[in-house]
Amino acid sequence: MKNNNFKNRIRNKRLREKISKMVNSEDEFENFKKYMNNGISSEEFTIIMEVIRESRLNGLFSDLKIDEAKLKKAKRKVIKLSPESSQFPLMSELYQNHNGKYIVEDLMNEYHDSILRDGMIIGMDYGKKFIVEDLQNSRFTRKDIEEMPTEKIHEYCEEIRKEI
Amino acid sequence: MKEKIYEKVKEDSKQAYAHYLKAFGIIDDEKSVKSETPKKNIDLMILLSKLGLIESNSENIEIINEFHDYLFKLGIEMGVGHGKRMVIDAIKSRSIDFKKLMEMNPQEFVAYNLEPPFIADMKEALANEK
Repeated sequence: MKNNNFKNRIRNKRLREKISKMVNSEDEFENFKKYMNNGISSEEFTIIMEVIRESRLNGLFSDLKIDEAKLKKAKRKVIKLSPESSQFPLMSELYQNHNGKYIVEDLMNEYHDSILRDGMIIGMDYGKKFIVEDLQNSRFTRKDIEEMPTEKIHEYCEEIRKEI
Repeated sequence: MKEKIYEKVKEDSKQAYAHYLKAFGIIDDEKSVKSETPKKNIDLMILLSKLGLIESNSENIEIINEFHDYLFKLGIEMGVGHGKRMVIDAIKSRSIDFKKLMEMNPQEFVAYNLEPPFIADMKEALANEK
């Protein structure tokens, strides 16, 4: 059991390094998309979310010229939000589970993940619609799909027709 | 003044969100969007300004809006491949009624319950994160 935990930690560390390299480099980002399209596990998904969150939120805070020391201190703060506050719709979603108290960093992470997730849900719906249209317009048949080589599946999954 | 800025951001991002849904053919009418998503960039703005980390001004709102838009698009890009893969996997594993699929309106199919392991995993991972 102990040995398995150790192996898992090493595996996750390597995976994090690999994903981090892909997410943080413009040249590698295309490979990252291919990697995603190849199908991922929930473990990988969690790591991807964490790596993207860390890298992109840091970029945002730097664009906003926020002092790093101040930010570090603020992230650890616990704040109480009023349930009546209509100004915090996202945060009030979590209110019942947290007795009105939140760690600031959790709120920032929630903000980031929820936007990415909303985008992903729209993207998935679009992807489903996209392939059904292609099948109905005879771009390919059931047999083509069943026999499609992995490389072709990747190429096809990356295709986006609308300008986003 | 601040309230006016917040209102404008709310409206602008709601329109952008609705625009994506319509552009991708997921909805027919942009007016039907009542999502809470557009409010999220205002959340961050309020949070950061209340913590004294930024000033609540139009320049910072612009930066946060751009970030919101970037992240949203990134999510869409990440999601499209998965959506297609869901259908490919379902066809390959024959877990979908192909005849029915060919007769379905693509918009109806978006609402069709198609949850391969990844999606269930993703939901579980997100739930565990909370």
